[in-house]
Amino acid sequence: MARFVDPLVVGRVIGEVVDLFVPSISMTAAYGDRDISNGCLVRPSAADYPPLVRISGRRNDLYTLIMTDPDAPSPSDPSMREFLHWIVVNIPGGTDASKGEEMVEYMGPRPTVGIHRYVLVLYEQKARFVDGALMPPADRPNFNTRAFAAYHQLGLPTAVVHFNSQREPANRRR
Amino acid sequence: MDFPGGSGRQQQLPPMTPLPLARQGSVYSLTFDEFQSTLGGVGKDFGSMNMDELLRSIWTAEESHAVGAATTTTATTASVAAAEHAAVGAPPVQRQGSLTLPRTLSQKTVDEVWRDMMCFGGGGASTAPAAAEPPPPAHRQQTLGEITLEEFLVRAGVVREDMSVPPVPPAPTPTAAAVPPPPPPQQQTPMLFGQSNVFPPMVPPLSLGNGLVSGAVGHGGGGAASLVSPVRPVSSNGFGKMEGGDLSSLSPSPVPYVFKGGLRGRKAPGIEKVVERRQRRMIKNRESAARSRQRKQAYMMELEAEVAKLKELNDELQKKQDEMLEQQKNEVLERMSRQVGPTAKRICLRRTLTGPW
Repeated sequence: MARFVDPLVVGRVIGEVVDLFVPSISMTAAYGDRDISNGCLVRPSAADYPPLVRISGRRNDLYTLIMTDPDAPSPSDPSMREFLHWIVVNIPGGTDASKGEEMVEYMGPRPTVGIHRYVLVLYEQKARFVDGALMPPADRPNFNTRAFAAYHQLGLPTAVVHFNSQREPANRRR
Repeated sequence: MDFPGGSGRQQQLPPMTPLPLARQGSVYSLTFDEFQSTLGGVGKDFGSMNMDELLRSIWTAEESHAVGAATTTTATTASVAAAEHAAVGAPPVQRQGSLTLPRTLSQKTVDEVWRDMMCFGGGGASTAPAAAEPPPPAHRQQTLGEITLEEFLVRAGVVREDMSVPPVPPAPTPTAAAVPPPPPPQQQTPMLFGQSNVFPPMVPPLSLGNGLVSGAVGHGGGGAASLVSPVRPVSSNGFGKMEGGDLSSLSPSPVPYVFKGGLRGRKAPGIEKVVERRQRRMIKNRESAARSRQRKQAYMMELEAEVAKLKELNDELQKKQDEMLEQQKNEVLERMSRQVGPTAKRICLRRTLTGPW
């Protein structure tokens, strides 16, 4: 199992975003037909629309997906760590994120300075979140995945995937 | 060994305080006599050398000393042998660039300087004993031959006292420059890098303390402390050394104020800013490079894990395929044999059936 965690440790995702965990669910993410593996580079323009995030797990279990950027606004001075990009809750196991409820709308990566890491974290919910039980974060900057998970009693993550993104040099995105 | 000039005028001097660290394997801790014998057959007496020559020969000896001392901690004996070779050999050319004795001082012979010292020596040395010094040893007459190089240099104003002794009134020595010694060869007690040093201004050269050696120990840990300040009159010239060796070379002018330690705050603001900015950029760059390496490594690991996973999967699938092929073959064979069986029987039967009788 450690084999799957190692890239996350080296990439400092474990430590800066989440704590050490043992993955129990497999999660794959893909922007269009491009699969995301830990540490791969994704062009921001290729990530305008939410990725297809497929998860394993039983149909009766529900999962929460969070996407954050721990390197905002710049990796050497991440004063906005973490910048929240996406929260989807109540994703049934064995399906994909589009079957859940979008709690915070997806926002594509917009790295201004440096190469940013974008982290997709999956938590298993203890129960279904109903309206009112959820505390949506006030703002995107300075979001804290750990605090959010602790507040909603999500425990440790069950799966994490991260990719890198860098501002595109020549033609700016529309 | 006899020093024509020095020994001629023996005077009662306040005893030089032996330095606790002075005996720890530095050429500066040698007395002139010892040093002379160390250099062996150089030929020229120190007394007739001018200060430039003296310093040069000391540095030469020191360099070889550094080489010799690299292996031994109690380096004195080793350095003696090493110095003998090196001192006669090529003079340290690169050192000369950092040699800034005042003209008045550099042209004087050692004897003259010594004489000057003697004239003023009466009150000066005892004015500011460093706080940490042990009590002076038994009084004795001192000649140039007996004085250690360190003491001599400190007294001559070539080297400045730079421990944190309380400021004292300037000494009357007329000749003084602020040329600290070249980096000491061996650090017995290297300090931590962040060590901050406070230098009181206007420490007279005569306030003997742990001048040379202690200064060396205090600063050398952080790198070469070869700071060179241009010549200034004694009294107004307190200067600081810094631990970043490369920074020190950037200091173009003597710095007349007390430093509160730390890397910054000891230069003209403009230069300081530039240096600081450069350093910050360097640090940032280093961080970013580290991150980049990390990223690469993480991605590499991910891909390796992926490869391993896929390999495993491939093996599994291949095995499965082999099994299935085998199974298929068996099935076909079985069917064939099943087919063959009945036919043979039929043939056999037919034969019996079609028998003529």
